[in-house]
Amino acid sequence: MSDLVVIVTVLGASALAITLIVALNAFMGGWTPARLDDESSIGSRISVDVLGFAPGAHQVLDSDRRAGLVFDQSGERLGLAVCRGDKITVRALRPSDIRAVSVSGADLVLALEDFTFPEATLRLKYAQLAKRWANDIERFGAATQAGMSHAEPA
Amino acid sequence: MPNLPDPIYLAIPAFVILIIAEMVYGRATGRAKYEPHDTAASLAMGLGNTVSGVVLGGVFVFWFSLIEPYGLFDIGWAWWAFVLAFVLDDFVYYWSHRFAHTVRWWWADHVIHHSSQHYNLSTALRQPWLSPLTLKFIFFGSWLVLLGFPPAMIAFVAALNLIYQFWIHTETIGKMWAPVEWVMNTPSHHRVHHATNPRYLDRNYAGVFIIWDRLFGTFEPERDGEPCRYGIVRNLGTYNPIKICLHEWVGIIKDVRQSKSLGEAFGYWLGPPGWSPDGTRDSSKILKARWKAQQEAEADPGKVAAE
Repeated sequence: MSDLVVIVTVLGASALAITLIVALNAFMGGWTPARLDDESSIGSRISVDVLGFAPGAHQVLDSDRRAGLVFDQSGERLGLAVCRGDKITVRALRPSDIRAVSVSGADLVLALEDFTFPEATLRLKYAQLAKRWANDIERFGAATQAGMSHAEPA
Repeated sequence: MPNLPDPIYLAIPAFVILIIAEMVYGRATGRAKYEPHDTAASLAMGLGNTVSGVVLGGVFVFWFSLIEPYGLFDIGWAWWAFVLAFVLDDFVYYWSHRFAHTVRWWWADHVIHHSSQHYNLSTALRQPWLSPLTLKFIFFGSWLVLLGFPPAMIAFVAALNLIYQFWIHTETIGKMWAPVEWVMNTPSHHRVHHATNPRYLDRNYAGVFIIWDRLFGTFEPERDGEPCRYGIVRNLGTYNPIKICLHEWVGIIKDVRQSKSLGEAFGYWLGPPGWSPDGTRDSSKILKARWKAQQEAEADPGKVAAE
């Protein structure tokens, strides 16, 4: 067999093996989709990954407990926790990390300056809450950039 | 020159069988966790690594053919030369790996292997695609060729080294017999290496022999009271293999473009991962210092308050 045939065979068999392994993984299960237990778990989860992040009291959990936001006590960072598969990915955002914030019904959408995590959507309990949080986040950006703290939003 | 096979190609069927075995065992016992998106991403990175090895492997061949005539000795193909090459290659691997964690240019390539929040046999195959382009092989791969070991022998023992490292990517094996733990890299030691707990950051760089870490002060044992949290300091928000492959390169380009001076640009490019001119980002060193201060404050709150 020529080298090319060997290479194509190995790659083809590898691709097939990957498909079968992933299908087997999906079929067998064995993982539990991650969920945030309650509002207090947003901050505590972020503190585990972001050393020194001290969650404040201003926090919100989305309605299916798959994502949450919490301002840190200094008001300089906004903690974000998002469930992905059976794990939770967190960010301690500074104003420059947030490209835009928008609201669509009860959905609060954060566009981030983050190559692997460009957007986070939180479905909040009602539209007014989403609007309030969008305002808080916009004020967070403006206040922190002006050198003021955003410890407790209005 | 003997006609040496490529051990990695030969090992691929065994990798597949062992991953399935661990998946089934993990499902039955709960001692291993696989999540389909993560598994797919890791295996896709492994396949891409194989493809890139074929496409970009010529860079290695060119370089090592170029320097081979300048070898200090003509070591040849004796059995002891294979043994010696294996041990020396592992020594070089230790340093190459250590620099891969401390120079961002090389970390941008190696971070891919650390980018899963899972730790199972599929994580072993989560490998970068662009390694030859980092030119790390020139700095670390040339030594043995310049000593006089045949490049094909070095490629062979390096492949054995990588195959050895496959089985240590598992949570299903606890601590092993003490003498083995003392000399060899084991699942326990390598779990520490993949962990983001500040105590464990940048520790246990070994490939096969953990003695290098013991010798050079980078060894950290796995502690029962401190379970490993896997991944990277800033975990990825994607399973997309292209984004996984490129994310740190994109970060470097962005930072270098925003640099205010040449020094800053070099810092972002060749400094430690997480380096920033004002120290506002989290490098391993900063994280460890912050963690240590936090530990001291918790142990003796009065002393810290007085200070």
